[in-house]
Amino acid sequence: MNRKISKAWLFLILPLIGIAVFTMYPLFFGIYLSLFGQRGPRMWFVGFYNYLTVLKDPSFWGGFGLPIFILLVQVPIMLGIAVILSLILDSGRLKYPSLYRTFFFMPYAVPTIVSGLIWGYMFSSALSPFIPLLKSIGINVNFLSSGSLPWIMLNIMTWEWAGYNLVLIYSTLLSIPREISEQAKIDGANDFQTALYIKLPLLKTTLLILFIFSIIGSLQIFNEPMMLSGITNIPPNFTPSMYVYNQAFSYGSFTYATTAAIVLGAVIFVFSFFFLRLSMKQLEENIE
Amino acid sequence: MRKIGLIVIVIIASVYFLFPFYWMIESMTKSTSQLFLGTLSFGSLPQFIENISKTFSYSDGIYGTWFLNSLFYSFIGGFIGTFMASLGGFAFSRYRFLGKRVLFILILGFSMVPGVAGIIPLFEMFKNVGLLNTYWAIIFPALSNIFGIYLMTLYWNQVPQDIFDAAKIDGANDVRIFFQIGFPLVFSAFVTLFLLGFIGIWNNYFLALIMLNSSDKFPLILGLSNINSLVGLPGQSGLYPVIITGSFFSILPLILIFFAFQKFLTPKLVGAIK
Repeated sequence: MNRKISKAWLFLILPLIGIAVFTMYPLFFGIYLSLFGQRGPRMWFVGFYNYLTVLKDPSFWGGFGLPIFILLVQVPIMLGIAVILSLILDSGRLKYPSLYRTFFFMPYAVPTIVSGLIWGYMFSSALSPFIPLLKSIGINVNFLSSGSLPWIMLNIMTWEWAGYNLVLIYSTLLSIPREISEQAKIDGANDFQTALYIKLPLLKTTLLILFIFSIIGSLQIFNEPMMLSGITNIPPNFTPSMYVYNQAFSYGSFTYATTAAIVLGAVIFVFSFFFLRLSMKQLEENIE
Repeated sequence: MRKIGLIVIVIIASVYFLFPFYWMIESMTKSTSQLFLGTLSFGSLPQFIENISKTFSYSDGIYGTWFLNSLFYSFIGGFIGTFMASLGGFAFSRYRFLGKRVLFILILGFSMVPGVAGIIPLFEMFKNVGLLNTYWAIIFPALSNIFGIYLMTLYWNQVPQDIFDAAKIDGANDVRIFFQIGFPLVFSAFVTLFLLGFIGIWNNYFLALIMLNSSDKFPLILGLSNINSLVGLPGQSGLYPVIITGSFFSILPLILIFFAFQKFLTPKLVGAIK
């Protein structure tokens, strides 16, 4: 038996302190805070009362409207676009697939704050280049009315993330051995059939993972609506993260906001957990 | 003929993804009144130069301060985070020790807890120790880099064990093996993680928003969002060119990184998952 302390700890000590102090401790501290009522600097113990209030808080759950819309409408559209474009790039019928890939991937280099800002301006009544165009053919629109906000968000998020998803899907396609699709062609399948029946099924795992990433991302939307709120009226509970932020920093209810954040975190955790389960096997292989 | 159909689809998609870049650049060459016309044509070169000088002289040159702050936060934070990840990954990849598996799963479990759950307590924590509104409030959280440790473990695993065994036989101690032998071998992974960290901190709006309140400590994107909240007020529409020009310069470093290091940045899901 080797009883001396492994030298591994020499390397682990700093990163572990970092994780303990700035990730683990805040979480436990947050759970502690969530057990208190608070007004200004005054705090008193209330047990799980905050949780009961959050679970029955219609404003908090109202914030899930946008993530659910994004999930049911935007994510399928975005993944659909990403799959179609990457199948086209992979079809071998285009001259410069990597050039197009770079075009599609470029929005990934733009901070979400800036893409919220630029798209917000392009849809604002003051600066929009689209409104004069539409006016000239007799259509008057207000892109930033409250009814159209989810669609504006859909557009911004598709623009931001379709290229990222495309790159991941495309790299999966590139990893499929050429012989498979060549064999399909010999068997008489055309390009479209090869894409639909041979390549698409091989994307299943990648798409599932991207779908879970998208769920986690859409539950945490914050930056884009914050930017839009400088341009148009955005409700303070437009997304769950905005609700948490506004509870804490607009209304000063820090412990209540912490509780809402923990509940939101738990919802996201459930989805992340599926991802962890999915990739657990690979994780374990990697630390053997 | 079907090939033409595919090309049309790809070109329409390219126009969609590139259009905001075009609009941003075209708008930088216009005055506010030209912007209000909503045309897609370019303005003039003198206007472009005036917009740049207006941006960098706005509020006594605060934009330059924001730019340097962003560089500082992203560079230092990115470096620290990547270094932590290299150390942790090295330990998990190269050593067998009691509780290794449990520790690895535990840490990864915490990475599944989304940032939003911990950020208000982090704010309270920094408030209690007097770190609010300091550079530390942005730098310190970079010390915790769970995903980086996971990725670095994968990269360290790709380095053949023989290299380390040979070094050990030659009498090198563990710290020397890490810095002089191991480190050069994972350098490209280090660059990748550094760039991801750099971009992540450059884009981290939420943390800066809650931790900082004096504008001379703001990173760029927080500064931009602050001017953006002024532009709707009466008599402030002259700020539009400043914000648009400022936005362009806020993404310029990222675009440069993107083109210079695209190879390092292209995500590889297959490699990590399969």
